[in-house]
Amino acid sequence: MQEFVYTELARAKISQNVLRKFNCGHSDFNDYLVEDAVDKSADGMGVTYVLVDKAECENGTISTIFAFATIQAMSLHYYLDEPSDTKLYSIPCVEIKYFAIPKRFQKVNAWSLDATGKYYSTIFFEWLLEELYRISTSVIGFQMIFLRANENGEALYRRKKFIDASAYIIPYEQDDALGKCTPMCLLIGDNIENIFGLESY
Amino acid sequence: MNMTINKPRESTIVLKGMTKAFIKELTKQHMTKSDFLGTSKIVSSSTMEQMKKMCEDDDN
Repeated sequence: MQEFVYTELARAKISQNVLRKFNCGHSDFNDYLVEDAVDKSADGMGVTYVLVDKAECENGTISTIFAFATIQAMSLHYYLDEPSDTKLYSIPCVEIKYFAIPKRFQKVNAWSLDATGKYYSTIFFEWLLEELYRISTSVIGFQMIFLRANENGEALYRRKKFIDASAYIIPYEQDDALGKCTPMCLLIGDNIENIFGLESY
Repeated sequence: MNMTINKPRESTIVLKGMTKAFIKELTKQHMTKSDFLGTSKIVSSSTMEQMKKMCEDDDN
């Protein structure tokens, strides 16, 4: 039997040829993986994780990247509704700056992985969420996952319980490509009642 | 080497006065530990090889 695993890109020492082989159909994402991901990680501008064959990862012979995701720490700031309280509060988050899978897997049912016929994108993203949950509870704490969804990804994120936060988040400038994306949030944790220090809803 | 200078990040902020509504939406759909246990990551060797071949067959 074989196993998939998300592993950190810089430590995985993947060859440039294998990085260039990854093709999600968007040159910006492909180029980021090949040209920027490792340097950005070194600058603290986001750590990239790649989904690979675990045995190849352990042997240092990774041949295929099935997905990649770049995450960065951030916080969501908010005011309470009480006029007497002018303090600015925050909740620790992780932002998924990039999530991509090869074009060949997009909108394809993964019958060999799941009998219910989920898409490969759903399964690869679920595995990413599982990894983020592990990170949030055993590496560095955060309570929310944030991302800006383009039209290709929004349906997937809605299926995974992300909420559309357009009404609550100040958008980027109109001339910014990310201004066209939908800000989305997912709250995580087993004990959320007092997460905002407010009465439970 | 890419020497693009990044602009400082804008603060991502919840608009004042909308907090309770936002929290209500978030708490309706939060994920707990059991929600994160998805499809098994263990597959047969033939499945793994088939999926690698799918990537090889992709047109660049």
